[in-house]
Amino acid sequence: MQSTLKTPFSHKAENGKLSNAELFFLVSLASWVMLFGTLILSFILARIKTPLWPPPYIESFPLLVPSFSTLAIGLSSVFVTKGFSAYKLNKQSDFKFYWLLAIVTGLLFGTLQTIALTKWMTFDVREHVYSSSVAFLILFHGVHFILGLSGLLFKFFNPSNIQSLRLWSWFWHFLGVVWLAIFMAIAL
Amino acid sequence: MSTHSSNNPQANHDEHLHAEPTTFISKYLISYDHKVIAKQFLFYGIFWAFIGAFLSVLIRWCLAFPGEPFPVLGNLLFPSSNGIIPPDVYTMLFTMHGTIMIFFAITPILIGAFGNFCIPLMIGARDMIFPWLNMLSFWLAMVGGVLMMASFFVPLGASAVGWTSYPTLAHSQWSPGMGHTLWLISLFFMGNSSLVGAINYITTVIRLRAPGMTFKRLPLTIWGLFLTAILNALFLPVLTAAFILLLLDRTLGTSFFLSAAISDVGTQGDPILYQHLFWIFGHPEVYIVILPAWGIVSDLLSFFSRKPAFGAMKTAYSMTAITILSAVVYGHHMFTTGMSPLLTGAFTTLTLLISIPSGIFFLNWLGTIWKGKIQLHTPMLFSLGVIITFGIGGLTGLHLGAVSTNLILHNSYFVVGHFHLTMAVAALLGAFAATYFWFPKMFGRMMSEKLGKIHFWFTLVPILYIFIGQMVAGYAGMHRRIYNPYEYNYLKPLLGLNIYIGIAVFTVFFAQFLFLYNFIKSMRCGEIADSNPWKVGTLEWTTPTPIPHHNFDTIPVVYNGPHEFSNPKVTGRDWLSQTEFVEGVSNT
Amino acid sequence: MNTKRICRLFLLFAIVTCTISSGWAQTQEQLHQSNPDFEKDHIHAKGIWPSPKSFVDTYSGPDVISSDGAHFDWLFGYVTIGTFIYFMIMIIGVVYFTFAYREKRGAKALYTDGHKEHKVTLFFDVLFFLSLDLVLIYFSIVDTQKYFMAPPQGKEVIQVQVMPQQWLWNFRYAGNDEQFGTADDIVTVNEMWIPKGKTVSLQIKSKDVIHGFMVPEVRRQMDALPGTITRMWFEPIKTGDFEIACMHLCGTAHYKMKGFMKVVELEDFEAWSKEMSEWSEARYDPEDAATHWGWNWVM
Repeated sequence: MQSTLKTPFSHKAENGKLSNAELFFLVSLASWVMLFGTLILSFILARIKTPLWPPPYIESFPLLVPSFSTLAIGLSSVFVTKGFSAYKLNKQSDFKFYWLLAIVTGLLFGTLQTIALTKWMTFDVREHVYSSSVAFLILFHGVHFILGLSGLLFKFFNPSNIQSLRLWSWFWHFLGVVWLAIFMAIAL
Repeated sequence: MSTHSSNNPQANHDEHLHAEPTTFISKYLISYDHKVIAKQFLFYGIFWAFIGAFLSVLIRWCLAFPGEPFPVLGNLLFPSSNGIIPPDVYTMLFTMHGTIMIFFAITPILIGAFGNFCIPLMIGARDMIFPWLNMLSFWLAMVGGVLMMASFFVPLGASAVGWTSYPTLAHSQWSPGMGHTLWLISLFFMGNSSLVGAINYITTVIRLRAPGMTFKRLPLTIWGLFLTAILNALFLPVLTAAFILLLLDRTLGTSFFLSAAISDVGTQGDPILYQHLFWIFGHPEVYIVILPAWGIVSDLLSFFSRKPAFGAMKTAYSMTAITILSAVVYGHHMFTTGMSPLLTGAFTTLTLLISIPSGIFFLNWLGTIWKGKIQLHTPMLFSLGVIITFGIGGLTGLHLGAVSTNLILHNSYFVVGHFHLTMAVAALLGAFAATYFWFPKMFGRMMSEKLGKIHFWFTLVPILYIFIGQMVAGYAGMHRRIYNPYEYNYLKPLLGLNIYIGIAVFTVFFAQFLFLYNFIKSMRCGEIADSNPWKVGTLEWTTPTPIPHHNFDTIPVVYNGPHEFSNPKVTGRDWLSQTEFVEGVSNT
Repeated sequence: MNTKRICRLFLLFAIVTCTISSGWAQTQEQLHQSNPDFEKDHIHAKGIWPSPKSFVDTYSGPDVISSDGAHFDWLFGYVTIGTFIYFMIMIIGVVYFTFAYREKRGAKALYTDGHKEHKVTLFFDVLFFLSLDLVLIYFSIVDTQKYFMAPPQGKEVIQVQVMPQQWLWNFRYAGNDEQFGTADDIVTVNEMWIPKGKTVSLQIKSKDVIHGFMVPEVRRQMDALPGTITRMWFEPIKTGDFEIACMHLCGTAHYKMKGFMKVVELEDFEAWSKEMSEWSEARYDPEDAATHWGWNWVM
């Protein structure tokens, strides 16, 4: 009834390059994209519908500090890539160095975001959908950011598995892209 | 470094192996085994389906006998009003009926139970690719269920804003109390449960197909479940986002969906935004619910006609086309919100385009039973029932897809009848067909055919009466969600019709106890089933019954399609297993 | 208990339930019929199988009173009959195939894999699309341009602002000076007067939650949204009193949110409008904020 495994057959899935976990991550990434996409789209739609954006009685979100944080998370992404390629070449010290840099720039991003948010949030952000959307988008991204950062930290001390290292670096890039989209939606 | 990408073809299948559980708790409660999780989902779904059905009985009681106390249980349930269902409770009833039936009954049964049970067995895998996530999916659903149940008992009662939960009614100003907040949190858990499951299903179907199991040889059941999983993975996050924003509005006092005209502060939210987000998810949700049933029915019709599924690949491609189209037609739910005329034309056209692929697989179903050797077993009867109910439901979709007629019928009972026939009745009959069909593999015993057939007739006939009657009432002007339609003069003539619909509902409700009896009794003392009682060739029937912990000792190799029936080159019997190699029929 | 007994018991139970409840239903109907408030000028459904005429009268919806309602009814009828024909073809197919090819008759199943018999399915699919979908798409686009695209303008149009709230309907007319937001605006609650033979243009905005404005006789509905003005217009061609239904769930008393639309002759409407407008002006109270809702007429 059941043939043995010696029978020749072609089975494409196993010859593919992505591992199971990577495939899983890509599928969940599609979901994440839809989640953040929906939120950013809502923000843009609200903006299109509203004649005065932001309204005069609402302080608009400062863009200087967030531009630096954008820079920081971009740099962090670069360091993660560097660190990962160092890991692939088995250069442990280079990996540690770049990975640490990535974590530090990540922390810098977090700090800058916190500064921007706390300096801006001196009024009741619930007053207008502009301010509440901006605060919500940044905080919601922040929650995922904390998750990503703890992943990087974990991998710094425990870099045994290349596969999960790759996944965390992908997640980190994704967070960067999401932040860029949010920043553009707010700034434009 | 990873040892994964070796050349050993067994690697994928062995990777997720886990030890056979020994204790009761690890075997039945926190099991990683997809078969046990499937059963958990099945019991969970049946439990909630009965609660949802009971709520519908209460609803129909209101409409059929307005102002009469509910018999027997009335005084127990509504002591303050002498057994009469009060209007505020009525609002909760239909809200919870919709929510429970969609998210807690049909989804767990079709996707949770049969998705979990069929996918690994039918593609020739030992388990889902991420068993831990599979368990997580069930326990998230459990948390959601507990929260939803709790929302019945909080002060001011359960959610009472309709299952669509439109703001601004869903804001705390107009629906105070914990009920709706709990509802949102609970559905957040349910959504994530489905999402985790869906991601797992997609990865499993892509990765764990047995050697030779190409997409062309995939049973249509798996096609349906796979497409459903894709829709779930893409569109549940949209709902989650909408619910998060609504939850913030309710709890923290933001105003994403609260308009400037009515709130105290100068906000500029928009309640229509929620409707867009909800229906971007909501229209695919219809297909999320019905696609597994389509797949199951396409397979069962072929199995019990003893002939290959007519145009099987065309069926699969039409289902794929519908999956893609479903993402871009949601606008017909919002024609009455004063949409731009350009958009209404586009959405009408796109919506009506769905009838082309639907027509193709529908006629393929007819083609399958044409010139077959039809065995009218219970699963076959239910599958034929799906053809009829989905036929009516699908055809009446034309009225609602076109903007001219939509403006008459929107929010009327015509809509209620239409969507019940498509996504509720057709999906539920499909679930019954699946239950009767896979019961022997799940529990090792046959369900009673005789009880099953009585159950079928007492379900199909009244259910057609109910929902065709509702469509008639809808065209006569009866609108949705009203406690007492007879407040309106033009609805007074409909009392007679509503009484008969009520009686039909009570009949269907009691007929389901027949199913429950059959289900529970057959589990313990039904006729012992052999490993392939229906004589079909898909992979799950090549396993012994009861199925061993890891399904397949060696991963089977697939040579044939799933519907090789009555092949003239096979002698002695009219079916061929997918794993059998017959010269001239099979190829590697 | 064995299965057979359960089956018999269930059948018995079902028959008894159906009989008792049918009897109950009949008495209920008779009770309602004997109630003088119930039966004024409505034909009552006579149970499950009414005569064809009473069936049509009861279930074809209330009579059309708008100038374009007949067109929508025609379209509805066309689609309904069309889909019914295809449904009958399908049902006949299912039932005939099921009985003609059932196992007992001993025929051998046809092995269709690889056959090229998809022409029939393709034929029906294309026929279906051409005869129903294409017609609906055509009419949807044409109707949109004809009926839903541009709100009517001009002096002849009767302008009404509608503001539903939980759970009543507010209406506002411009009054004698034909300007909204002045002292002589007519404000009514739950009662909308409009003249026969003139186009009525409504601007609808909700005060609190989403409501839906519909007069079934007009065959048109429009949502009332908080914060956004929606528009709807029609021309009544029959006089009489009609009910305005709220189509969207709007809270506990949604089912009681009923307004009245009074279609009267033009001279009656003008007399009513004049009198009401003067009455309003005489009693104008700038402090009464609740009465002075409304907005400038948005073109």
